Amino acid sequence: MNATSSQEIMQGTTTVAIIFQSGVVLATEKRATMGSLIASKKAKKVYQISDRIGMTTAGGVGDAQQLARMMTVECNLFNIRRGKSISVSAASTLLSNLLNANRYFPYYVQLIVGGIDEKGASIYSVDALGGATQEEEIVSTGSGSPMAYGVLEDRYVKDMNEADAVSLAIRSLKSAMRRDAGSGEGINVVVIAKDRYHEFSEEELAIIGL
Amino acid sequence: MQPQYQMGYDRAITVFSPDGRLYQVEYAREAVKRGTTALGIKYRDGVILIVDKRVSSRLLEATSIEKIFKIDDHIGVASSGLVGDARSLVDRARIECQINKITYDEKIDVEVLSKKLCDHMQTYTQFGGARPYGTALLIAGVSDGYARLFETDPSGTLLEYKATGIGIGRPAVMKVFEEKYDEEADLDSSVSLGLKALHEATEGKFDVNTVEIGSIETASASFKKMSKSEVAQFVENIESS
Repeated sequence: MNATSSQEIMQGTTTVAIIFQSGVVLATEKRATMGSLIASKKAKKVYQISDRIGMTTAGGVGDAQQLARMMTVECNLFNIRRGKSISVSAASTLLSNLLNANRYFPYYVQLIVGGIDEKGASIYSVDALGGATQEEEIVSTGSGSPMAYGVLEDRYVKDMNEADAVSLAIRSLKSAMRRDAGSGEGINVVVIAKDRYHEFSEEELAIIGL
Repeated sequence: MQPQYQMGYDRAITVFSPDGRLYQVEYAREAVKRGTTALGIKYRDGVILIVDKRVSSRLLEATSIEKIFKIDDHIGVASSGLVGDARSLVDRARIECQINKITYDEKIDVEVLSKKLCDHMQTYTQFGGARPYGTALLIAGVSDGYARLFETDPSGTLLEYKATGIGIGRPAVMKVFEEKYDEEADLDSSVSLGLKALHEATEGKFDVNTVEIGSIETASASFKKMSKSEVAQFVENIESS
């Protein structure tokens, strides 16, 4: 890889997704890098692609943003044409098809699609070539994921409540931010439950000690 | 001798007549009106489709006439009008179901499929170079736990019915349904009602070989065509009553 292209890439990242009792937590840190430079200290890495579906991104910023825009459009069209919201599984399958169709010139990304539909809460991890796997409990992507997994595997409990899930997500990200040079700055948390897609504001995060 | 330059509003399908009609589309509807009778009924536990195959000769193998088609596990259609056109639409419908499965990993919604077919049929009322389909379809299926029954026509109009008929016997069938339809009826009495309506429409000229029945239950969401012996059972019941 040449110097120019590596400078366009946001390689280091940590994202996590957790299924709790009544929904999904999606959380990311906010560092974007260009080689060894921290290009941004408040990068957006969680996108709302449908009413109750979010997508976290890791990898090339441009690729991730383009995919987020395309998925938003596809989900909107699905919802309006069919008069019902797209399921998390359908959105992941669609994304998987989109990525696999470009496998010879791939989008440089690692994604998590998570949300709530008629069947309940679910999360999918989707790779650059379109490999989509449904995860039952937790998933993490990006260069900081090994550190995040250490915490998640240790502390995750099935059917945990929302507050516990949010603090576990934050705890796992903090671990990653301490030991992964590609992750740092701040944390972004989204909770998706039956009745809401909620992105925590700075103030709300300050209340829970961030 | 002056050449005649008279505008024929029934030649090109894309041209409106001065009173706002598309003659080719109306002629296509006429092809359906002359087609064999097909009917659909929603009942308590699902939907049924019944068609009259109109076997014109004792030399004809009745099994070679097919007017009820399975489209996907949860959808079936009955056709009236040009059979060749119907088969082409059926193939398209089957492909749309598989496209939806591949794209979203989900069964296609019956309404979504019906709309897709109608969108396709509509293009032949607007763009030149081809004629409209001379076929109407009854699309029966189950989506999200509900039985659905749609009727399409060559113009691309889509309507949902509790019970309806297409083809030459439509007026007779609708008359019977208007009087006797009951949405809480069970399978046996709904098939009987359908056969009675078909009996009226065909002036009694049908037997086991000329009737085809397809059904889908809301609970199983699995479309099935009845075997000859199952159909025979129903026809006998109707004839004995």
